[in-house]
Amino acid sequence: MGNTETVLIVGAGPGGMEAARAVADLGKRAILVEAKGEIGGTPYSSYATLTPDLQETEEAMGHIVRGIHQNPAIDLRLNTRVVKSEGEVGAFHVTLESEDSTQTVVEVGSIIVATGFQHFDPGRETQMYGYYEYDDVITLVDAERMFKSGAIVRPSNGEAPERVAFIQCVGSRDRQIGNQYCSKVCCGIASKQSIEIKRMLPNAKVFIFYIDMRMYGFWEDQIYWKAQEEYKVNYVRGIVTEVIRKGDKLLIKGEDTTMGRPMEVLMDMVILSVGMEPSKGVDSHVIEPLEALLFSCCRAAPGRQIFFRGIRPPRLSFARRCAVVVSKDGDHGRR
Amino acid sequence: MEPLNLPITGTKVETSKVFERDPETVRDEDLREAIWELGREGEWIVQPVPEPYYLAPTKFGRMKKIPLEHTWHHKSCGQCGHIPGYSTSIFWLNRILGYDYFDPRDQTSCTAWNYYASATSNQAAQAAVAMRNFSAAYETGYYPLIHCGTSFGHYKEVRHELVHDAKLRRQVRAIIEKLGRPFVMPEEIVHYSEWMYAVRDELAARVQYDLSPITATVHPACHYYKLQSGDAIYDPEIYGGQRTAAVTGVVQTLGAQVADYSTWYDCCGFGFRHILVQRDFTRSFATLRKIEVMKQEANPDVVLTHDTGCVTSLDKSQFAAKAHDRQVGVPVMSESQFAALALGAHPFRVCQLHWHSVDYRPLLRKMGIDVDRAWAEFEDDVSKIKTGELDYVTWEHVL
Amino acid sequence: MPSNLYKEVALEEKQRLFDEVKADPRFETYLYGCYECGICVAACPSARFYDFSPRKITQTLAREDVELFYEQLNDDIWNCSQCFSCNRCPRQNSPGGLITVMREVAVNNGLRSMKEALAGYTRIIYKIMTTGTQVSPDMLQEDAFPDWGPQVKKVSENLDVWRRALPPETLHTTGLSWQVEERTMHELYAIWKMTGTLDMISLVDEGLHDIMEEIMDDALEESGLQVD
Ligand SMILES: Cc1cc2nc3c(=O)[nH]c(=O)nc-3n(C[C@H](O)[C@H](O)[C@H](O)COP(=O)(O)OP(=O)(O)OC[C@H]3O[C@@H](n4cnc5c(N)ncnc54)[C@H](O)[C@@H]3O)c2cc1C
Ligand code: SF4
Ligand code: SF4
Ligand code: SF4
Repeated sequence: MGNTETVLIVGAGPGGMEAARAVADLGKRAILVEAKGEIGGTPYSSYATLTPDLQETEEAMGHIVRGIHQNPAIDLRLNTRVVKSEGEVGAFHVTLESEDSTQTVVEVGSIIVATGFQHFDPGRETQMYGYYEYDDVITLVDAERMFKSGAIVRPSNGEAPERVAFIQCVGSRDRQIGNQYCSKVCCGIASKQSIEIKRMLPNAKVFIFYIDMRMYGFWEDQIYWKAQEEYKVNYVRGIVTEVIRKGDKLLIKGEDTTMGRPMEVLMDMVILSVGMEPSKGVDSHVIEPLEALLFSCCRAAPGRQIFFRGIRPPRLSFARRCAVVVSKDGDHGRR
Repeated sequence: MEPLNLPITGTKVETSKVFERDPETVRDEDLREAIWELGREGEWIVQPVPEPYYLAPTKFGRMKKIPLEHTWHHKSCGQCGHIPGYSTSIFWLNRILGYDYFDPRDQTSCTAWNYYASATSNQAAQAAVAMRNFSAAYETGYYPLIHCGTSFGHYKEVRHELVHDAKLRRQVRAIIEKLGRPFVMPEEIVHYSEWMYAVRDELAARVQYDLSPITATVHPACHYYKLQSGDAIYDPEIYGGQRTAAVTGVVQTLGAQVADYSTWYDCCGFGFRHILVQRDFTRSFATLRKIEVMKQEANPDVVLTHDTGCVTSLDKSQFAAKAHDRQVGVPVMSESQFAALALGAHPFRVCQLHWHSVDYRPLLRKMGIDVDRAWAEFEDDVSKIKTGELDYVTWEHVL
Repeated sequence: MPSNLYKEVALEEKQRLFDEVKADPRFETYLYGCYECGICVAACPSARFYDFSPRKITQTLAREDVELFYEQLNDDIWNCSQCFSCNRCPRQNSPGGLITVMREVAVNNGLRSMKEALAGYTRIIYKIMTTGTQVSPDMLQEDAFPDWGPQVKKVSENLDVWRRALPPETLHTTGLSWQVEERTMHELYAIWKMTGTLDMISLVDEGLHDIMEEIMDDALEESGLQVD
């Protein structure tokens, strides 16, 4: 009964788009389901520019998005969610529900879950970074929003910051929070943003406080070295412990571990390098019928989510995550 | 150091960003479930929080039961010994609100001050001391309310160890049984400042003075919120729910201004061992990192806190610093003393401010309290005691 | 790392002490590993005034570097304020808790540096262990706290009457923080005995131990409490 020629892909971010394209390239049919009214996922909707070339997002990703829309083998369902799925590998009956509550059942042979991530909410941080206390403490995502608007300013007073600090690993690599993994992109993104800030505000002093800078080979000289060598971004080994207001500035306290002493410095703006957590989509009922297959790799234990990397060298260096392929013969490959 | 002309910032956050907790992300293990489970398994008796109780939000959103009355007051050796107005004010407030409480003699200190100072003890001994006191409370039918921040934090640690370490639990249980006592774990471990938070509106309704001209800085006690950190009160109204609301929530409700300062998270410098035998450290830390910073950034009329050690180090350290021309001179007391003053308690008969070092008179005058008359009244009590006309100052004198 | 200090102490001895620390049941939840991120250091009051670093303590224990461990066991641990500000470690270590455990080992092994650190403190041990309250009003004496200003003198001069001028009946004490029932103290003695705490004191101060033992044994005999 099953339709092994059709693959259902849940989530149309970079992961889902790439999966759909690959399915189409293999001569099969893809049903690409996206909860939102737009495809492209988190980067397409939230980021101004992308690594490694600091290209505008539209420029870097536009052709991929258009490619999906134009591909006849991809049946795109926007504003649609999966509400139920039954069956087994090779023969799934999946109920989709669109915005107007219309339900349709599709027959597919395999399902790819590519529901992506959400940004870590810094209100949960065990360090005290004051994101919910001070306007001038922002996240990488807020910063992207500013870059999109074309100016980087202190939200509290609209003035250009003279001193900006990035704090790495916010919400990642932390047993107390329960996220024991490295989010893999934030070191590169902070470095990218530091370059952008220096381009916009050449006189600003930019600091990056880190445990270790992780570029995973993609972004070493293109971004990290460049920021440090060309743009004189200050990389300080040691993470900030707390951020607290002093007058109209932010006082950051941490240890400069290279020097081995506690340090306290005033900043105009602090950017929290928030990590990623699996999006709620991963938990939805898409998963339930597949639990036995997926649980072992995807949600083995809270805080131990697995990151999946592209099979081929990615055209965009996205760290694809939580995209699990359940193929018809039951051997579940991973993307 | 020149005072900086900084705008005084209160506890209202300066951002429109609002934190909303996602219940799925809560990491704090709710020990109460484990405590009840161990109770069902017969490992110990669980003493429930007596009704009526107040539900206060904690760091990760769990609601904590705070008993209003029938409380067994676990006193603090430092408070009762050197800052007796601290505990007296807590009792006085209970009386003013008409809440039944019990002030036991069958109580030892938690002995954690000594443990953190000298390590001349061990896990089992510390747990046995705690469980002996809990047992004593249970036998009176009253519910433990812990006065000291260190006792509170240490008992939370002990509770955590007893829940997770069956061997330790058996060992301590055997000791308590040898003493002929029941083995009891209270459902919640509650600090008096949480009780203050629970009754803050009742207190505010009885305030006698206009506190709006008073600026206070708050020092949150490390052992209150850094040990077993999930179990401390947080309130979305206070610093966006990102810092503990203990003390601050109460003082603000009473009508005083609470000012923030940039070493809010810092320790007071007590050090446990240091305060007794290495006070150069305590003095430096308390004055350079706390009092001077508060003075420079907020120029407060008073420093309020909720732990024995913090009152002691912050208050007593200022004298020597003054001799070195440091920017000090801010009176220090517990929020229970401050609340009692605000509700019209006698500054000397109840709040016992004559045990404090830094001059508190300017504060009292600013509040509208006639200090000189109050002192004359107290001196009168003292001479009556001296002549034998009076045995003690009693509750009848002060209510 | 090989250490230039304490060369006279055999490596086996250092290892033995390290193993004792590691054997404490709390050890495995106080130490996981260390990022060297310094979060603990910036929160630490003692790091601001001493050449002291909770990061170094954790790192040393994580590396099982017994030479450095032995140095810290002697030269560093008594600087800690035991405030536990360092508990916000992302690896969920408790550097302060590790120090508590190290201190306990230092006491249990009668280390000289421990005795030096606790010199002048032993009267407090006596007070807490024999009465159940740590600081009594009569400790507020000018000669003990000269740096606390003239108000200490006032307290000591008026101590008796000022204590009587306290409304709570339990606070009319001068040698105790509050009135503690005799039975309560005896139960405390039983706890010290049964948990080996009293024995620990003999390693800190033999004389003090003997005095306390006599007091406690007499009291326990009188009270009829069984301790073994
Ligand atoms: C701050 C930041 C900056 C970054 N910048 C870069 C960069 O410059 N270059 C780079 O290569 N990488 C960058 N990354 C990494 C990149 O964003 C991710 O690797 C990538 O987005 C992962 O793609 P995805 O498809 O798995 O997830 P997502 O992009 O999160 O897409 C998931 C999609 O699934 C949809 N969805 C979720 N749940 C459901 C459901 N139940 N039903 C239907 N649809 C659902 C969502 O609406 C979304 O469209 C950055 C990451 C961060 C955090
Ligand atoms: S990528 Fe960098 S900032 Fe992000 S979690 Fe990993 S190490 Fe931390
Ligand atoms: S407990 Fe000790 S090591 Fe930890 S922060 Fe306090 S003083 Fe520093
Ligand atoms: S906070 Fe933890 S991980 Fe970081 S340096 Fe200290 S002990 Fe190591």
